[in-house]
Amino acid sequence: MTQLLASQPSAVARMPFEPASSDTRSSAEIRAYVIGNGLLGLFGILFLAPLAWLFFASVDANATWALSWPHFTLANFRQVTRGDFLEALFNTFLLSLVATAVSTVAATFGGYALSRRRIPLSDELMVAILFLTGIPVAIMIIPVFQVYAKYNLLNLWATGVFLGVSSLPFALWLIKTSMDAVPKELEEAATMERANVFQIIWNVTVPVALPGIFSAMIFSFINAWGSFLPPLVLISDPDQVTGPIKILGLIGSADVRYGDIAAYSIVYSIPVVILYVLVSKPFSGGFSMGGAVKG
Amino acid sequence: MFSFWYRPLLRTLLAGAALSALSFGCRGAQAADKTVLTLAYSETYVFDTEDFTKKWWGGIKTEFEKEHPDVTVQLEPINGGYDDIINKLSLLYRSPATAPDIAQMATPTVDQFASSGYLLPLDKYLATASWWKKFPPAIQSEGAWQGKTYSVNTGENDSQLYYNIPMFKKVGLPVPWQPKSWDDILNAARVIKAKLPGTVPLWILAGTGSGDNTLLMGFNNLLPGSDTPTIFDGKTQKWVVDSPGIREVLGFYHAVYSEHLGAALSDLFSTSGVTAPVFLIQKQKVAITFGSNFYGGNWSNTICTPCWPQAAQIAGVAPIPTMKGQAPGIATTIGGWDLVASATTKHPDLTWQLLDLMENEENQINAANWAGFVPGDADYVKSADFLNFAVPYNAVSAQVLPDGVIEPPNANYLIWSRGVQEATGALAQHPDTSVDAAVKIISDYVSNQLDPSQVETLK
Amino acid sequence: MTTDAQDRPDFLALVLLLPTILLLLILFVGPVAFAFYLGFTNIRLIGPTAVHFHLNGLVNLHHLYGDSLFWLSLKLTIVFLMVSAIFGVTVVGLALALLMQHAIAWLRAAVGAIVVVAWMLPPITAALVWYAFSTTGGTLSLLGGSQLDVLNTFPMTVVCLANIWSTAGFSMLVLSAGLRQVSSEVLEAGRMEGASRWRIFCSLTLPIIQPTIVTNILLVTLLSLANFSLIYIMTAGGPGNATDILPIYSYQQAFVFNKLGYGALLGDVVVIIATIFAYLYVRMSRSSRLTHA
Repeated sequence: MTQLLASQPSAVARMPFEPASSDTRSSAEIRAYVIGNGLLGLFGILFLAPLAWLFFASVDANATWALSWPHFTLANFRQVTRGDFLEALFNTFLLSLVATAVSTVAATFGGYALSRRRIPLSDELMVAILFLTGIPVAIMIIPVFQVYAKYNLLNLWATGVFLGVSSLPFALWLIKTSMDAVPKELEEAATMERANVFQIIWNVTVPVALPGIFSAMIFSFINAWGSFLPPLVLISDPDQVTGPIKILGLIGSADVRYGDIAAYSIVYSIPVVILYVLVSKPFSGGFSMGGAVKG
Repeated sequence: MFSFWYRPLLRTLLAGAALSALSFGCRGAQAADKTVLTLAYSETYVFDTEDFTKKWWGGIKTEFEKEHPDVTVQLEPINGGYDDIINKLSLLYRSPATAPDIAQMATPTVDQFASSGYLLPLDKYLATASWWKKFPPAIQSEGAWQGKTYSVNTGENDSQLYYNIPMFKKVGLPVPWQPKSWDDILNAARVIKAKLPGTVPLWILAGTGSGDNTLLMGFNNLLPGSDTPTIFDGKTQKWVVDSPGIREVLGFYHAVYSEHLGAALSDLFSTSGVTAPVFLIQKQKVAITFGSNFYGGNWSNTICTPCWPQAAQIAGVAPIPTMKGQAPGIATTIGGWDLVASATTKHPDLTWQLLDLMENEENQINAANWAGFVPGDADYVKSADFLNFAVPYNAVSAQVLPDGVIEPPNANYLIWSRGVQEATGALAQHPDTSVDAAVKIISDYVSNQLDPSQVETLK
Repeated sequence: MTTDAQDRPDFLALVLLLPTILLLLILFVGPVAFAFYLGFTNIRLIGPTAVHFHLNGLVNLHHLYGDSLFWLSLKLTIVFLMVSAIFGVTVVGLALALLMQHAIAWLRAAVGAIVVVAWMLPPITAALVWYAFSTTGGTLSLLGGSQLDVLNTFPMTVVCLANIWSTAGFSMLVLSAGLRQVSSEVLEAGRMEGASRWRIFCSLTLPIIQPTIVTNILLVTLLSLANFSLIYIMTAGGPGNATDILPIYSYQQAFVFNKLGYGALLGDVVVIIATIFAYLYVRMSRSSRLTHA
């Protein structure tokens, strides 16, 4: 499994119950092995079950919300890879990019400050910031709209900033805790070589805290990718509309295009899945400190 | 280690963010010398498809800009459903900088926008409009607030009964069917239930799944034909939560659901409860349904959601009768979309001309055909282009329009509506619910949300 | 710590924190504070008090106290959080994380991907997927004879399950990371002493990952509170008021009934609930003598 979140970068990597050799495998262990995998497989099926409709409806010419054997067609997929749907996909990508950049940069510097520097009440501050995660976005949307309207910021970019800010609390917590785990000796070594703070952060702390930072990036990206209410309210230019809003648009008052919704949802989910697969691979093993610190 | 690739990656991310910022910043630049009129409307909800939305509004823009070369019409489509459109408009109108010069908004909300001070009174312009005089009084009153008119209708919805002709013939019910009372409807449904098991005898919306549409396409088409059609008592300024009329309508619902004449809950309560009958009728799963005027257009070859060339042979249509057939004999509720002008518009005369253009015959008939409306103007509604678009359905839609009543425009109407939605939902989901219990649901809900002093019982 | 410039750190720390603090203040704390203020006014979304509104003292609060639907909503919210977030997501996430540890490689990858995809799906899709799954004719209903409408018969159950489904991926990732902190030597030692698998889990693993579990509970609770879109699109609080948890009731009051002031007050209650959880978290972390998870 992946190692997306911060952890002690030490000896952990192995499977605790993997038998050393076949002769020492007892029947109890084999039983446990089979049951364990069986249970996991069951979970897999349970989680896959709701998605069955998605796949069926996407290739169904007469899709409704009921699960039915499809009249196979690719028309739905053709419909949702038209110009404006693809443009919405691209817009979502830009939006998520901006949100991730804003969130990660601010959280990296802020996390470093909270982790490394003596700030009064930093624990309380951290928890206060963290609980902001639970505030429903609908509460904030009107004041934010008014501010944005006043400064002519009702566009994709400013919405991306807002989404970055909405995932900032959690990103901050993730990065701060992963920086906490970076041994101070590494930085002391760099300070002794007369590096300034920014050099230390960029060259020493960030590389070691990278799993945590990447986790924060993924979280921010996914948060922005699936975001629905802020783009709906804050974006006024129809060319800047994002994916979830396009899906909403397929629910009209005279007709609900379930086939298109399913097809577009699949198309829309693929980039995030690819991203996840790409980013999770480098972290599936542990990593070593090399010879950075002596003694 | 990672140092080799993460730095370029992070740099690329930041660069990407910066580039996109630039690209969107630059898009703001516009030709500053032309007069700009902004037009706000629904992108996906009002017209039957997005393509028709673009066609109609794009057509308006082209036509107007041709007649006024020094004006640019800026289109501002709004995404989302009914609530989202109202919410977006309410946000846009909060400041003159974002308030659209013209907006298309739902009929029930006009009064509230007017009372907020957002809208321009149109009376002096309407005096010069030839088409205004041909609007029936009920439709003209949609935009009335404190003695002035703030909106003009751009398309109405009304309701009728649709029935399956082959099924009726099979069980010996008269075709063409012309029910003269609620009992006629119930009795026909009972015959279907007895002789054609496996079909839904009568579809009428219930519950909260479709929001106010449950009333617009269901409950509120019966109430005007009952003994007490009043929803909001203008004299006492109170909401009626119990009356003989309300009991009669709830009694109708009770009959339908306790005798199992109604549809499955998953259809009734779904997000597409409003459009489900369109498909159910086509698939011949439903015998009778309360439906909206847009059904006929949906089946036409132009709209095609779904395409049903044989519609006219299989789906009959009839006006909804009053309870005992008493005058006026037809009952329906109406509601649609209206056009409004901003109170802070910098170009009121030009704005009016744009509005006038949208209300001309060709544009109104196109709007009616492409969005499933009935045109408000008494002449347009007789035009061949409208009537022939969906034969014979549009003729009946036109026929019932003058008898239509509008829903109360009061701010708290939706609360009363929600109470009724919950009561009908309870009747549908738990058929052993009594009418008394259902009335109590409405009464409790509205009293709780507003205040016991704002509700009343009519005798 | 470094020995030079002991007095500089605070200023530098402030500079580093500045982007975060500024962004949070302007785009987060500010709006929330404004929403708090709005909760005590008579503002409406549209209507005479849309633009010209004023504080109306404790009128909204008084209405809240007497609003039976609010108390129902509060109860539903607590039930939802307890069952779905605190218990459901944590247990499922923990089970997944544990099972992943000693599973066949391809199975681990496949199930992991499925669970994470469920988490990543935009809420509007997840809502429609679950609607299809749980109504008549959907997969879930096939269990009870295909005419069973699970969604409308057991709405709260379905909503809780949907929340678990869409949040378990996140919980699994957090708890997997926590499990990695359990060193294999400790577990080997336990096995050497002949302890049963369950005993090892309870006495060795659990105490080590307890801080992670507590943190996970807090985060999952907050995420579930914020999971408004999913439930709103699925049921909009229905049928009737069966799934009308506070975020949904608040939205309905503010954006459907246009009572923005009252809706804001209900939103304030949600914020207070989130605060209570954060406070409890701090207390529990302190009592386990932790400074970070």
